[in-house]
Amino acid sequence: MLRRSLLHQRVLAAWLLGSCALAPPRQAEAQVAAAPQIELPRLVDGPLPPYPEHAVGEARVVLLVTLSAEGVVEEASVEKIERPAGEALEPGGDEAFASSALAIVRSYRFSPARRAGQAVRARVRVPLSFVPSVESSTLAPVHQSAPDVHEPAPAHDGDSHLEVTVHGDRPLRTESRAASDYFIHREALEAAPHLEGADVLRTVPGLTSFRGEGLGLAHSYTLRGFDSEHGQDIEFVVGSLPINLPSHIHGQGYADLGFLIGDVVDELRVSAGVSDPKQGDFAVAGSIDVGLGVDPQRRGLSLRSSFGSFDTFRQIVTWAPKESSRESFGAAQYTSTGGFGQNRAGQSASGLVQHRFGSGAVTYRFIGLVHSARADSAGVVRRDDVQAGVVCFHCVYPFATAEAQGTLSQRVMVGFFADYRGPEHATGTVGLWLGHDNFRTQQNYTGFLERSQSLSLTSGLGDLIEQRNKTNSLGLTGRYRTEAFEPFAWAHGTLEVGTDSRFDVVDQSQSLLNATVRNQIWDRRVDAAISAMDLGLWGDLDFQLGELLLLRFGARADVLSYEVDDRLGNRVSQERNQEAFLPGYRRSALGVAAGPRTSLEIRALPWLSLLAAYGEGYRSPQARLLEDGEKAPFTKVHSGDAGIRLRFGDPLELSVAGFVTRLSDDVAFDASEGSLARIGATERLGGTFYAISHPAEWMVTSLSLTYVRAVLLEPPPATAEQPDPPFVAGQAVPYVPPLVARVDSSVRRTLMSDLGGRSLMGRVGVGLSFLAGRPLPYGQTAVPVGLVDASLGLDWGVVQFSLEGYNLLNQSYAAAEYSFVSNWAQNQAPSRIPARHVAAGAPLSFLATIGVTL
Amino acid sequence: MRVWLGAFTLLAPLSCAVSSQSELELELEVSGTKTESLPLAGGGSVRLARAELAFGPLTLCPGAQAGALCETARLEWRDAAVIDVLSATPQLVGSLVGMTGGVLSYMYDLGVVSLLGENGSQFVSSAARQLGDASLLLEGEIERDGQTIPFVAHVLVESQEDNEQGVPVVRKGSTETFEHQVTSADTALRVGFDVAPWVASLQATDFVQHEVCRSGSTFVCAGSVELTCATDGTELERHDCADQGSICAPDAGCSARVEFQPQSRAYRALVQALTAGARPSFEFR
Repeated sequence: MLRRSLLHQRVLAAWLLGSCALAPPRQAEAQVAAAPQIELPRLVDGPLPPYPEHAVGEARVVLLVTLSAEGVVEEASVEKIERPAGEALEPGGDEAFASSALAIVRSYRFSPARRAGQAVRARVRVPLSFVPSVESSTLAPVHQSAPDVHEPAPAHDGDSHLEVTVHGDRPLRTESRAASDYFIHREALEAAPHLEGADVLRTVPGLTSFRGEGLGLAHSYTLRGFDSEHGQDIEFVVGSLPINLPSHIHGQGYADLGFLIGDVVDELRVSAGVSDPKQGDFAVAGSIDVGLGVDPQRRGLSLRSSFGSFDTFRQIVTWAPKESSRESFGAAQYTSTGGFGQNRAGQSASGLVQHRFGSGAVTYRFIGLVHSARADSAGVVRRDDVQAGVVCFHCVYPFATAEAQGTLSQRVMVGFFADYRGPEHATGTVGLWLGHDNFRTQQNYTGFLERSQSLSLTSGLGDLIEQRNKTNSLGLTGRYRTEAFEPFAWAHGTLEVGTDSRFDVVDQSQSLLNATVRNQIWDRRVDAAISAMDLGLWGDLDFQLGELLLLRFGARADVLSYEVDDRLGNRVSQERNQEAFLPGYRRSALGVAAGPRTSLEIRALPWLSLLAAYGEGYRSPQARLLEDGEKAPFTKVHSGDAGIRLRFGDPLELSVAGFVTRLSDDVAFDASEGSLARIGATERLGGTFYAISHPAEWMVTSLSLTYVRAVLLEPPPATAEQPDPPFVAGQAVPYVPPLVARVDSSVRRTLMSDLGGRSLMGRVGVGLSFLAGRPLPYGQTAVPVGLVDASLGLDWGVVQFSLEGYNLLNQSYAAAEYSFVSNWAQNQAPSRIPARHVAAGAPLSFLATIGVTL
Repeated sequence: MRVWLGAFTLLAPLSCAVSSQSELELELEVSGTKTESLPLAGGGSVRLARAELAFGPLTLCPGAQAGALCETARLEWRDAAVIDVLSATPQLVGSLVGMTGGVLSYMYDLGVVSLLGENGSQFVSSAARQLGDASLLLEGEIERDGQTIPFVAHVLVESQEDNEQGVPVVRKGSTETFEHQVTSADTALRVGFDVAPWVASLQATDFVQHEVCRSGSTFVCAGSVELTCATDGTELERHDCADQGSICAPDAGCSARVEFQPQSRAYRALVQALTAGARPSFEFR
């Protein structure tokens, strides 16, 4: 809890330098006072902190900041908070200002203090003033105004104070609505080691992320009771670009985040559940908005080369002009690996470019991404075969049809956005984006079970399923939030309207290939073209009643329309007259998904908020499953969320949320088709605990625990084709871990204050993940997974070195585990009893990285 | 770390929910029928010395139709064993493994399994190998008109190319009733075979022929006499097999015993009886 103080507005300009790395402040001051020829540190770069979302009035926060010999912020604490005399305090206001100031000052970069020409550690006071926008005649966007307000007084004029004034700059949108909304900043994201950029998602409470099928295929995600497979339950947005692909052949909402480069992932904005009107398609378990940027400390030209186990090589180049905003950068990444175990080699390359430009009330942002990956895959192996020694855990079955597994992915997206920040909270955005995605995979889950539906008496040539999917997308987005209006003295609010629309043209096919004869096609299962349009409109009233109550009420409606050219529809069976009619089934459907999005926040105490939210969302369908004229071609989602959030300033924030989610029609992975199949209505009931602690400047720890009970309400009944459905009502939803725990922690300290004129910083990071046994079809349960990752790092001037270890306990864990029938037996009778299958996760592996930032 | 994992593992069962099925293992017993003498169509009787069947694998299906529609089985026994069909004593051959739930159909092979895959299309079990790469071994003699004719039959029942590959050759009959709700209270399944319907498919002429030379025939049997015929149907030579203490076997001539050839009517009749004739009895206990 921070100490309140209302002191007069006096600018502090005390630069106190210390030569001892760990000396307490007073001791350091004494030492510095006696030191001659001192060159004071200067602020080189640093963004303005946002004006706190719920704060009012003016405040001046004075921070005590300890700098390393490189000018890097080592520690920061609040010395005092000053308020204009007579200004009323609002609950939690001081904490909000303090948190905002502390969060941003850590990214500041200074020129080092020098004594007798030698760089030394230093401690400085940094005052930051917050002025609300309503009192400001001109509202200055943060990055545009940064050069003016950040310019420190020259060090040589003897008046070396830093004075930063933050004009009321708010986020473009009010993002936090429910107890299950989380903002995870870079500091927490990079606490634990991450093998890939997309692995930062593991920090999200309740989320698991594994990649068991090679670099070419998207990660498999679960989020608080949803097995999202490759993304059908999570709306992923990266730099305002929607990543999920509708009606994808591998599963609707397919979202490959393999293009993410960890160095430019700045923050994650997580909205678990459905409470924000802006949440659109696939926001079933929630939405994750990945913010991209490079903080001032890392700006410049950065080269990082990594070498690791299994012939893994990774090269990252990041270019972030120091004079540009945090959001402006270019980054490229190349990765190659021999893969752990057999048939897992792969390569990937990706590029990300983002640039914010313009000045005044309207600024512009361009973003582009390019990604391509090709990787072999070992697919799945049966657990009983592993136990019998038929195939090893990390191996592939010794058949051409298994060894031919692999995936190619290609994606290009560009977007252009204009952001408006007007007076009195008014903000707006308009944007246009384009995308092209190409996907081709060959996977064999079931061995030798399939029979050709096209060729008579043709079977047993290997169930190598080829899936191809090409999507061309065009999207428009726009939103506007009005200036604040105040109908009563005790109430004020804003109204926001927006649209998110997209048009996709999809061409997809699915075939069976004979790998022994140059991938000869021996059956065609899907050959379709789809035109899909989603026109979403939403409105949001954000209303504050007094100082305690914040009510948000909104609604969203999406018009979903589809035209499907199913070229294999009505296919003539082999027994019927082949010339009776031509195959093909063309159809169209249109429906409207509409529902409210509401939330209520009660700021009971300065450090305590009570939140409740309810929303109705939707998930678009696999269009090929639609009938002609179907009116409701979507899955309806009802999501409720209630909880508390406690903010004890910077040292500790925590939240506890309970949630319930109902789906009208859910899907689950079907191995026989290598895609998703309907499993009927489902319900999730659970809770999430999340805490992030920053007890000292050099340490950050986040912890999350998610428990959920996910059950099937109305599974599909038995049919002639499926006389033994794998699910019954009341059964646990398959593949959903009932308990997920995650810990991310890191410590960062100065090891040597002077090593060749530069200090040596040390870093230690740990990531712990645990998933309870996932229920599987046919009454099976997967083996629980517990993983420990750790990293050691050294920063010496512009050079960085790190050693990362993954799966340190060398667990033979399943990145994915299933239960279905397969036939890999070639010298005995095949089994028709569902068996446990695993896609192996990576064993113990290391990655060493050396980097330089110029 | 282990403590940490253990603690969470203990918490995991909190998520208990309804499970659709539970795993199950049933003893599989197979028995035959004690048989003294069986009538032979066309006259005479058959006395069997051996009637051994290579039985298995066996699959019980949740749906009413077996075969390719039985993609997911309820219970299965993937092995095969030689069954003494002349013994009524139940023989424990292995275990059926699978899950609880209803079964509405069954299918089984007779020692030879049709496979889908790269390495071959057929798997011959050790049980079939014991019987000389056959599904059924019948050995005995017939009594007809005071004459004793020994015989032996090695019948191979395998999937034909014009049939569906990769599915067992014997399936529940279309008019047959087979229904049981398998629960954890079930401990065993007894399958009972009876050789009588198979023998009933044989005819006296399969063992004893009274033919004369016809156009196109090379030799025929006239009782115990082997006739050698010209292509125009005239008799060239006759030879009484009884003089050598042998018999005249149809399509084989003088032989110590009758052996059914795969193209013979008797052989085909036995295959038909095994695959499409009377089914075995199934009794859950």
